[in-house]
Amino acid sequence: MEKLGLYLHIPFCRSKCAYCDFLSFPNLDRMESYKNKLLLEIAYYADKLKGEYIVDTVFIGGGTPSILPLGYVSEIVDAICKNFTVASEVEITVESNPESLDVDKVSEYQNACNRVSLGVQSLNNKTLKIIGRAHDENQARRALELLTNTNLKVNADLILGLPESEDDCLRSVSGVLDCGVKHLSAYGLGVEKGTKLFDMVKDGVCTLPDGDRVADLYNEVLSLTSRYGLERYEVSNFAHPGYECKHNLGYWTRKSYLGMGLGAHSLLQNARFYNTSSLSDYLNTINFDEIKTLDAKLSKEDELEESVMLGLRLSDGITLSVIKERFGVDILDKYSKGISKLSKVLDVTEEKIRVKKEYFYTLNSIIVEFLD
Amino acid sequence: MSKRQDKIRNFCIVAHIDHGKSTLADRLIEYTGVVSSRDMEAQLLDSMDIERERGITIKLQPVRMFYNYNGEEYILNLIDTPGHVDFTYEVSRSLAACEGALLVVDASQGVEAQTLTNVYLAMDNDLEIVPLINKIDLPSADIEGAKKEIEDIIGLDTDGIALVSAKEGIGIEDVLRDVIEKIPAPQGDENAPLKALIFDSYYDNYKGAISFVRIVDGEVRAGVKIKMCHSGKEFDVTEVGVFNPKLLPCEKLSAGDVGYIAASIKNVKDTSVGDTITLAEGGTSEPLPGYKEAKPMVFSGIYPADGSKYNDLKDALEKLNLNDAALVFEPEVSAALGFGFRCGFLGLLHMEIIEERLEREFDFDIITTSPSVSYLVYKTNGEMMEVANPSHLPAVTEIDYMEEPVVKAYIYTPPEYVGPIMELCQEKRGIYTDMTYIDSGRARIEYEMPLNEIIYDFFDSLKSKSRGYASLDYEITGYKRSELVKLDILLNGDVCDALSIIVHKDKAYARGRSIAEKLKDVIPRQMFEIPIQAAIGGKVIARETVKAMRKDVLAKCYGGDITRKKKLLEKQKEGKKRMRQVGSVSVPSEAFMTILKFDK
Repeated sequence: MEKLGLYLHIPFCRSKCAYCDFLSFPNLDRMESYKNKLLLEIAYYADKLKGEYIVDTVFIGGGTPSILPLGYVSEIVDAICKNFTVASEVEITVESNPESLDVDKVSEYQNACNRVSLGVQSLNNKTLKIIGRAHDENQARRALELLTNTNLKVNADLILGLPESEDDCLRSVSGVLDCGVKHLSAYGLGVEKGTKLFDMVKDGVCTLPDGDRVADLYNEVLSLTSRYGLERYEVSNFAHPGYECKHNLGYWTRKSYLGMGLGAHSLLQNARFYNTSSLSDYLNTINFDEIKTLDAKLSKEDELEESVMLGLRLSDGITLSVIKERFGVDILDKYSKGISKLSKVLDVTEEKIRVKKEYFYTLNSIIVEFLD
Repeated sequence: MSKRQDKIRNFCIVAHIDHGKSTLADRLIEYTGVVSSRDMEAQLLDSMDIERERGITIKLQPVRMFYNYNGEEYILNLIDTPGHVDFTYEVSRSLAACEGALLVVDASQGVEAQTLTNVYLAMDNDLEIVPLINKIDLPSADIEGAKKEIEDIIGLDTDGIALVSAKEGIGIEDVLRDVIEKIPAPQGDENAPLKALIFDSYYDNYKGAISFVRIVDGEVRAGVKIKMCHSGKEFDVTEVGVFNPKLLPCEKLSAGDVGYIAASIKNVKDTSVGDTITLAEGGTSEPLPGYKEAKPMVFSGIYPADGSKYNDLKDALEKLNLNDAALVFEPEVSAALGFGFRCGFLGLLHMEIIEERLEREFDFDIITTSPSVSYLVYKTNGEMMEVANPSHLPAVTEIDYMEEPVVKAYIYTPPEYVGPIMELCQEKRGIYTDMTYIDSGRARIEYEMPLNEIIYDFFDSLKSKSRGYASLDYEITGYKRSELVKLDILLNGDVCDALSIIVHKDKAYARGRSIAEKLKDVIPRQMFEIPIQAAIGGKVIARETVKAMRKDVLAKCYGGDITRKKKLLEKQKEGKKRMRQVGSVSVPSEAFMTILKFDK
């Protein structure tokens, strides 16, 4: 049976952060009906895909999954385990925010899941306030303490490039590492149109460090994390060996995944789909096929390009034999022009193509040149 | 003088932009009933989109009107004139085809400096100037003030002047009265050998190149053989006619008439504006005075943004050339831009018009290189060559000396800007020749200036120094020896031929620095550091660096939304496609144009 990742989107948040352009809103009164719908969707797809897949990763993301009332996450996980074929060493992650995490939720997650990803973003109160986060430093530290004292694998999400000094940013990084997290996601801040932050930057209310500064930050984070024993395994992800996020690795290696809930994306049988973004459409549908849109049917060539584009994000790079086996092409031949132009930035061996560490953050240009 | 010519009036309209020339023309046409108001498209005479949008007339479109005055029927031929310095010669030929000019003065704006240029041009052509005051319906109209300006500035009598609102159709009858009463009738000799002045031409797919003419002496009809006095080429006339305003064939054109001649002429170049048409047999040996060959003065490379569209660009230029004899082009190859054309234009506006037409009418993305003038290069071996493409300049050691075209520039400005403008002219290597105060509100400054300074950024600077009030007119006066050098731009060590320019030695450092700085802003950061150098003959005079790009990665992948990432990458790919490779450097198309933008 083919391995499958499940993504479940929980679109509720107490308030919208200034930088957020993802699907989330504060209609907390709809949480129950949403959860019930999600349980139906789980049953629907489990039935539809019966016998074809074995679920080895589950990611409950958001929004803020930890905002769900006590017991919901367990219900969701139970439904998955009851309906799908689930691998024994399945990774089950739930995203949480510090302000909605308490002893009871942590104990619920200990039973239902085995990994928690905590949206810390920063440990600097001033910064947290500017970007509109609902928690402060103390809440974040308390949540980290609660989590790291359990057997749960813990990730802390941080944002690089916030409107703060380099030192402030690095203090947050060492702060969370000192708490004993074994996985760190350090995302560069993106300023998207339509967000509050976009207007703040446009109106000059808020100044952000430029790309060079963020590159500097990444380099600092790289050396800081390695001092704590974490290795970078993907552009923005650092982990102790064995603590990598299997679910996210699935995205980069093009493993099949099924997204459920509002706006969730799927990759199944070389087609990409996504669910409706309308909460009422989702809640009212009686046919889950009708709320799914085909994004792209991928040709072999598309798949190959995706493999390159996603594979180069990994420190481990692209494994030539894997590509050869899957597509019957020798990547060194197929993209010889781009590869020779990129000789300075690529590390090419007989087995693998990797982007050299110092060029990791110019990946976009590298990919464009590579596929040219 | 014949009775027939007594009933003909040939005239044009002189007006400042926005003072209502086109509206007045429309109204005259409507009033005399050539075109019913139902069929009127606003501003009938301006036929091209670009003209209409910019509110300026480039192509002349004559029209013949009939008007009954005091019981007699008159033929009124209105010849429209373009209003820009690039087309001064065309204007002068149109004026030469008339006996009089209507001068439109805006009741609230008064006499504008730019109008004066054309008024003087009309006076030089011995035209009777008939003023009228337009826009009298505006609340801000100051009729007495406008009258006073006409009397003081131009020295014309304003007794009984027509007071008009072309927009509202007021006073049109008075204008027609003035045209008949004040403008002299033509006085050609119908029995003399044919002399027809070509004042415009255009290419018709069926009839070939059609000459718009004013018959000065004699007559012409279908079937006769004509000769172009200057080229000596002969053609058989297939059709003659008048402007209705569409072409309307007639039996013959005689002295005093304005009309067209079709003679299966394959190329508009054989119907040069200003040339005289006569009969091949028994024609005149004395062509009309004032002929000048339309000579391109400004040159630039035009390349398709998409290199594979070279042949399409060629077709487009050929099509434009059918109706625009002043446009010249020949193939050229650039290491940076690939295959394209070196094009010659009458001036900067002409260049802009061609660029815009290529982009709009032919839907082309083009890259234009920095405009250049044509230099005379005297080589040490005694040869002389003309160079309009900087990359064709011979090695410094082979050059004895060089000459550049110079112009006589006339600048009209309110007196308070005289200081800054003179400063600007000095800065642009101008040599002061004269200044006169036309009245208390206007001065005319004359400078001798190198053309290559004018085509760079002079006009923009002039406008900014005078808050938009100053206007410029210039005429080429000849060539002058000058200390010129070729300024090369190197990107990552490679010379980018499309960015080379020829500049005066004293300007080279400043230009080099400014180009390098501008390029630094338009060339996007790439994976490697890119040195930008400006160099003269191998000696680097300015250097900037585009730092290596350090971060462009898309950090997060939310819930497996890969498509979003792919779209961003697609966009980046598209962006890269639009860039030109100069050695290892990707250069955006804008870079080749940006260096034209003037220094703030």
